[in-house]
Amino acid sequence: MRVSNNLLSNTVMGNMQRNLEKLFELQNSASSGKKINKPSDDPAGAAKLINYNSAISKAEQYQRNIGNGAAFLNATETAVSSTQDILMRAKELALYARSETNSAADRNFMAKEVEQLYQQVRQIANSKYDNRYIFAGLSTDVAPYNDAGSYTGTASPYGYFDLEIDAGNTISINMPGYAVYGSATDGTDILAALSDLKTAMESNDSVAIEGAMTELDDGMDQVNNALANIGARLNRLENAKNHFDKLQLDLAKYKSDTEDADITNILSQLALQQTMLEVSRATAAKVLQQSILDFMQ
Amino acid sequence: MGSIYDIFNIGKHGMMAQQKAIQVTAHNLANVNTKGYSRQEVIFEEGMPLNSGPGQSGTGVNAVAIQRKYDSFLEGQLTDSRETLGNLDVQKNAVSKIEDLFYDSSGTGINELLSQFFNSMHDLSANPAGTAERSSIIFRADALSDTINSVYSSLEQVQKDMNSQVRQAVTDINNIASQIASINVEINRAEVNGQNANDFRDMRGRLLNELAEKIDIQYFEDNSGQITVIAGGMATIVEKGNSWALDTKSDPDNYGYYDVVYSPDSNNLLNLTDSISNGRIKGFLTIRDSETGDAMDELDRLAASIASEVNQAHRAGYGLDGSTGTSLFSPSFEVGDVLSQDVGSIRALSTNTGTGNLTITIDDPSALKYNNYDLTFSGGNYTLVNKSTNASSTGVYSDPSSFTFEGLSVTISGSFATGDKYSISAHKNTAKDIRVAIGTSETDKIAAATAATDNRGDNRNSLAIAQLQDELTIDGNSSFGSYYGSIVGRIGVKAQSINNQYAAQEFSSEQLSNMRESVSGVSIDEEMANLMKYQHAYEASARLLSIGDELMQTLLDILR
Repeated sequence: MRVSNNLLSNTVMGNMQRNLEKLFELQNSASSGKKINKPSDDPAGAAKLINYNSAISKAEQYQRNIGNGAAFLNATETAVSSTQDILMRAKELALYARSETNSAADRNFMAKEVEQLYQQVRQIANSKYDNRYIFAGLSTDVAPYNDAGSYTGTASPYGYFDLEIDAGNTISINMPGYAVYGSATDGTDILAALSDLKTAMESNDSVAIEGAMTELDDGMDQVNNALANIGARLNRLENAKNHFDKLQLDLAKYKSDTEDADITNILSQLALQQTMLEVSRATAAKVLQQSILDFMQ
Repeated sequence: MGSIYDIFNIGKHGMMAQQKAIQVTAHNLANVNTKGYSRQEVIFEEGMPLNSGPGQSGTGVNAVAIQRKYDSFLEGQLTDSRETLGNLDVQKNAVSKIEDLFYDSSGTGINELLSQFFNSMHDLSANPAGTAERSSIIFRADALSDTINSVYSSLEQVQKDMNSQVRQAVTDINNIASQIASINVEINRAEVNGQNANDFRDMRGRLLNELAEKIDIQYFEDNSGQITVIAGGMATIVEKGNSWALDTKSDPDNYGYYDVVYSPDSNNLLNLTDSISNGRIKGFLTIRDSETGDAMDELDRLAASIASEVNQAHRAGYGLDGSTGTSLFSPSFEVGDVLSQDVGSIRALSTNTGTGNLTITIDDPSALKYNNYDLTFSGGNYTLVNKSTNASSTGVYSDPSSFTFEGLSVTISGSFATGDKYSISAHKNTAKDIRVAIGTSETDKIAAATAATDNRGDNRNSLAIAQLQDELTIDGNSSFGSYYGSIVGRIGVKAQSINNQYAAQEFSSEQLSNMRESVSGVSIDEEMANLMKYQHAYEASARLLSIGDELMQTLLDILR
């Protein structure tokens, strides 16, 4: 083949250009730490990354939902378990008051304490979390138990408040008041039971005290059920949280596997490419420098 | 037996011939770096021999021609490769811009903002009456729609750039064509006198290469040495000393973008837009009409699906203030919304001759599919073609007619002519126009609840909106996010394939250039060696003259 000067320099320049381009790509990967810098680097990978990013963002949101749900349920649990303690005390007082040895004055005195317990339960049933009435169902801006102790929140079977904790998977994070403290129409109305107990004690009526005690027992069962229910849901949230903790790690790993450059590999390629560039530069300097003129006098 | 004077003549011709060769060598050396230059060579021939005893005797050398070293087959391949390289170069640069628009690894892209918007709906679900949560939704929805707007307008900008480049390319083509025509004349003038117009031919070759980079050409040389150039498959732009200009003409059926047209005479106007097959101008047209057009259509579809799905769910709910039926995004895609010609949802072909009225309203938002449709009239029938699925349905037109399809209700009345055509796309320009319809001071209108009263703790509607994120809302098989992923994937595949084609073409083009260089390029070594050769020959011829002189002297001495 006949070799002209331009052929020689074009070839050298072309090869050098290709080496430089390769070097530029490698440097780009090395400095960004990513092997996918634009979709054409790996179209399938780029589309996967978009999905991973959505999934990661979603998982973070589910974690936040789980956290929000757990906080609300924990507040609910605290309130319900204090209620349980108060009801125990009421039960003790009722058992004591039932005894025939008590005088009317004794029972009247106990009625005063039951009155306090009633007020405490009503206060707890009207407690707030994050400025929302916990037991109001959906009317979170209105205290669910009014001065007369009647339930005014969302009526059965509504008032449950759901959050999504996984795709298509929701969980209620509250207990409407009727499911814990009852109402005139649902379950055992605990405030009414306490009120009945107080009235029975005041009127020194042991038969009525007996009746109120049965009511109180039903109420305690109701509260225990509510606690078990809340506990089960907290447990579910805990499991979901563990699931997402693991999923987030997995997703981060998938994302990194798809997106991140293998730095060791890149660096060794970079070194190789640099050597090749040096070689082509040295060759260019040697070859292009000389001509027949150097040998003609 | 010749005379001594013959020796003088041979010497003189020798010197003249070698001098010519040295001159050509000098020209070659001077043009070692001239683009498109073909090295030249002097052709020597023996002089006519003289009949004399004892036999014919030679009369020395003549320089009969100067030829350029050139391979016309290679030259043809080079123009072809220039065409493809020009086309791919344009596409490569433009597609790389488009993929940058859709893919943002820093996490501020459409996909990330889409996630953030739905996340803010989840946050509202956790605290349905929260003011901060409500403001955050407006803020996220704003960021999402702004980003969609800006990606769309960047795509539009690419499209407009391509369009003005088409015009620029046409100007360049016309310029080159007229230069080729005038060089044709020069070549003819020189060659009719028996000369080789080497340098003019090189110039013309260089212009042909430049032209090929811009548009696909075919050319042939007639016996007068002049070439005829046909561009874009059918437009004769150069013939002998004449050139014809291409022109651009705004096409009302393609958003006013330019068509490339050609008028061989005042009665004819040929549209070359579809017959242009290569060169940079083809690249501009492809990006303008296909690549950006497709990407904009997909973005419109995504925006329309988001607006329409979120709005439907949002309208079903109630705000803290008891309001209902409020759309979160505009356009609202509500029942009764009229598709407008102004927005471009309906486009009547400019050649329509009928005077009929076409009214399209949204009949059922939940049935909208956001496909592109063509409605054509022929005889007494109308035909509706879904351009995505190619499904078509035909009906007999009786004034007035109405029918519904994919959530749209169509009413046609008046007279339509055969060939009348309307393009229908309910989602057209939604990516450009999408806005948040609820103001920052109206956050109470955000419908988290499912009832007008007792709703401060009701999150059922916001939860339903949040759950739209995972629903397969587009074509029944993609969520918003996965549809976006598929757009990115498609553009990535396109860009990758163009990059690969470009790399291959660049390489083969380089090989061709090298082959051309190998034939036509100047080698300094070779020229220097030639120079010495010619110099020696010149010296020798000069020496001949002095020998002749001595011989003459000897002869004269005898007579003295």
